[in-house]
Order: sequence, then structure tokens, then C-alpha cells
Amino acid sequence: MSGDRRRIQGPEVTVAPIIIKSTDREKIQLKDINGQRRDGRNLEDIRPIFLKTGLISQANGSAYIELRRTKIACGVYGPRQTKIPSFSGRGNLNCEIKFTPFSCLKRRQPYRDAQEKELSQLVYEALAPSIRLDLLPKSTIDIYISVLENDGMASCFAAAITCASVAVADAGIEMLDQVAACSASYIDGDIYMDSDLVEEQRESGSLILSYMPSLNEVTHILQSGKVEVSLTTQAIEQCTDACSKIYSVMNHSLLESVKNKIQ
Amino acid sequence: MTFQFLSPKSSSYTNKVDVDGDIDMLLKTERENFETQVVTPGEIITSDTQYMRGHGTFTTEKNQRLSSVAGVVEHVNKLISVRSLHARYTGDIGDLVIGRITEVSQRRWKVDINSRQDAVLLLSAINLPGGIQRRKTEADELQMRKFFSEGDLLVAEVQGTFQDGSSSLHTRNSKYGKLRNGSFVIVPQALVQRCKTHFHTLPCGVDLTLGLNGYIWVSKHTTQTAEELEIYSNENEEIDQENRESIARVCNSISVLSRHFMCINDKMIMLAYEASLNFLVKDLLKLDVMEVIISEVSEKMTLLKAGVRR
Repeated sequence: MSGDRRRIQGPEVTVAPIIIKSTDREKIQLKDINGQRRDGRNLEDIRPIFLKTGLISQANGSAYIELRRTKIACGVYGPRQTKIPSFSGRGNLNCEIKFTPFSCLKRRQPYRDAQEKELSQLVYEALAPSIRLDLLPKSTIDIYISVLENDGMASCFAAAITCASVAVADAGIEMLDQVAACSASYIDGDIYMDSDLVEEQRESGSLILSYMPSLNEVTHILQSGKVEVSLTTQAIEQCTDACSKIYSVMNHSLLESVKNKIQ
Repeated sequence: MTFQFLSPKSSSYTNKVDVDGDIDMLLKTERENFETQVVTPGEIITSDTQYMRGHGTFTTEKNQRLSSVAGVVEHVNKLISVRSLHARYTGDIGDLVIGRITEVSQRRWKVDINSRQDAVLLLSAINLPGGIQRRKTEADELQMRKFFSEGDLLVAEVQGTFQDGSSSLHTRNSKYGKLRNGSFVIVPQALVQRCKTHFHTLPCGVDLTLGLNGYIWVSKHTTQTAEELEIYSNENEEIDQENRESIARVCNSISVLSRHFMCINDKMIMLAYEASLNFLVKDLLKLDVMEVIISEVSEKMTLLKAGVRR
């Protein structure tokens, strides 16, 4: 078969695709009779966090976060001169989130896709209110987030915001407060805090809250799916509580890095 | 009836007098509160309204002083500021900096000095070759690349600062100007201390220029005066093997100090240099070798400090 190389040539033999029946997925028990989840957490518990600053030596500030199987690295460059000469009294904030090709269940393309663009915009919206861009005229701050392993999109996104905020603080950029973020999933009328990939596949909706704990202000809130108002308010409350816990971890890692250096 | 004279209560004040003759006005308890206080953004430093807010702090409606960067609280009488360890350099007038030309534009160069904005070096703020004193003409403007072109390194002094955080430089001193015959090292800006002089000639036959912006130049020692040299030459001189090695060793010693976040001045560099002499230059940045050097340096430092106290 001399082929036209512009056509996509399919294989000569066809094989029926393997279909994982959705009923198999339904069978997984998300919580047992004691209300504990598969990894031993309660519904309102978040995963243990590992957070470290100063990972990338050439960046002005950097951080690495790990929540069990969610792994994210973030580097902050700047504030540096804006390349395109246009006068602005405020600084520019440029956020880019990147999923590495091996980070998700399905292989990701190495170039920037629509979802990455959307998430980058959302990270910008969550972080911009906390950074004092009014003090940085004509300057740009670049935040590059790379997701090394993704275990649930909502929790990964929340971890990315937390990680980026610590990296910005590590870069010595003036900010009003650090932003901690947390996600919650609505599954069968329950709120699962900081859900992983398996739980996320069963969710009917989700909520991601970005919150500045010491100023007690919310910078960003993102909800999807259909839920009762009462459940949303409860989820927001639980998320703010969880954010305060995350905040203590953020503070701890920052203080550690400073203390290590001044000794 | 007997009177008893009580001595004034001095114990509650520290009453330290510093080099400038300023008397410390803080109470002892307050002083202890502020000593090496480490804060993160959004943390309350003090709720006391008597303090003035300095760099790295802001106030809320409740008149609390909050930190806006992660770093160490610094205290000058009633002024509170927070110094970050990783912040970019902000120019102060009179600072000696090392920079790299990024752009040549009309009557000025743009210089990267590790600051928020590139600094400017005006054509009128440089010395002409041969030390001729005259106004810069249009002819000079046309041959600006003969003085400095993109990528050139130079040492300069901060002449002034602008509202947006950028600064203007000048090189109107025979010590300042283009850099050559050496090697360039970058360290965190917070590590370089402000000293009486930032030009050093180390005993190992190496010239050292410490920029306050964290850029450091290590070069071959020259005895020639500026008049003899072609100050805008791009050609390196012949550097022999021995000199090359000591330049590389000094560079690596500086890197070792900066990786362990120890302050950088000529004394510290010499201590690290002496400690490094037992190793090959190429081994200096290995983790175990670095540990040995750093422990030796800190040991010598404590000895020196004890000597000063005696």
C-alpha cells in the first residue's frame, strides 16, 4: 500500500477498546462506616503537607509542595524590568502553570493548552490581591509553577496557589499576607476536604477557596457544580479552617529557611 | 529621720551607646522582644502605636504594624523595618555596584544591577579615555559603543535614585569603569556588607571588587594606574596559570560562603581561601569539602571574635 503520507493511516487490524465499566468505579467505597476515607482521613481532614523553600537556586524565590501524591515546584523571578516598554504605575504579575507530560493519568502535551492558560489566569487572580504591586512600577514578577504529579485537579490547583505564595514571600517581595488555598468536593451530600483523584472523579461539584488568614480576607473563590446554599457555606467555613492550618505550615517553612540562614 | 538615696533605676533601660553616640531609648524588655525576631508576611510585629513604620512593614486600620516580607526585624530606636534575605537590591546614593550593560540608547546605557529596574548610566557621567575634561559632544554620542557595549561589565557608584526604584550611576573616578582580566560571581545581595572600601587586593595576588548589589568581580592584580591603561579596552591581558588558579580559588571560596549564607567581606573570603588550600580548586564545591571549609571558617571566626573581646 503506497500511501498518501498526508493521510492518517490507521492500522490494518482493529482491536476493540478496553472499557472500564463505570460500575467498577462506583464500587470503590469512599468512606467506611466510621466515616473514614480510604487513606484513613476524616471527611474534614486535609492531607499532610511537605513544604520547602529555596529549591531552585537561580530563581529569586522558590518553593516545593507535596501533599501525598500531589507534587508541585514553583519559581519566582523578579521584580525585574518589564521587557515591553509601556508605562504602568503598578507592577505586572505574570503567572504560568505547567503540567509536566508525566504528571497526569493521561500524558499531557508539552506545549501550553487551554486548561493551563485558564489555570494560570486563576492563579493570577488568587495571588494578585496579596502582592503589593503598587510599590513596583514598571516592573514584572514572573511566577512559574510546574506540576510534577497531579492527584486531583482542584487540590492540585489549591496547592499551586499555596506554593506560589510561599515562593513569592521567599523572593522577598512585599505582600500584604500570604495566600493559603484549599479545595473541597461535594460527593453524595457530603463535603470531602482536599479530595484526591479517585474522590474527585465521583464529585458532583467542587469549591476552591484562596484566603489570607491573618488579614481574614478571601482573595478568590471558585465553585463548580450544583449544590445547596447551606452546603456551600459549610464548605467555605471548612476551607477557611483548613487554610489557617495550611498557613501555619507556610509560616513554619518560611521561618525555618530564614532562621537557618541567619545562624 | 534618715534619708536613703536610691540610685536611679537604670536596670530597666539598656542605655547602650553606639558608635555614633546614639543612646538606645528602648526598655530592656522591649529590646529583648525585638532581638532577632523573625517574621513572615502578614505577621503582627507590634500593636504599639509609638513606632514608626519603615521598609517591609505596613499598617492596618487597627494601627497594628504588620510585616510585608519574610525576614528579620530591624530596629533603630522607634523605627521598625523588616529586612528580607532574598530581596533584590535597592540603590542608595554612594553605593558601589557592579553591573552589566543591557542596552545602549540615546545618551545613556541601561545597566543590570540586580535591582527591580535597570539602572541608567548617562553619557555625561563617564570619564573619557585619557582623563580629558570636556562636554560630551554628538561625536561621543555616536561612538557610545566604543566606551561600553551590550554585555560589558562595569563598576560604578550610585549617583541618585528615582521614584520607581531605579538608580542612576556614574563612573567619574579612576577606580571605576570597565572590568576585565577576571571572573564574575553572584551572591545574595544581603550578604555583602557595607565597608570603608570595596576594592581589595588579597595577599594571594588577586584584586577583589565587592559590589553592594551582590555582584563580585575577582581579577588579576594590576599595579598600573588608570592613566596608563586603556580604560575602555575589551582585550584581556595575559594571565598566567598561577594567577588563573588563585582567581578560580577565590571565586569558589566566595561561592562556598554564599551557599552557606555567611556574610562576605575580604576577611571572610581570606579565611575561606586559606581553609580551601588543602583541596584542589575543582573540588571546592563538593558538598563534603564545603562542609570542611565552612566549619574551619566558623571556628576561626569565633576565635577572632573572642580575641577582639579580650
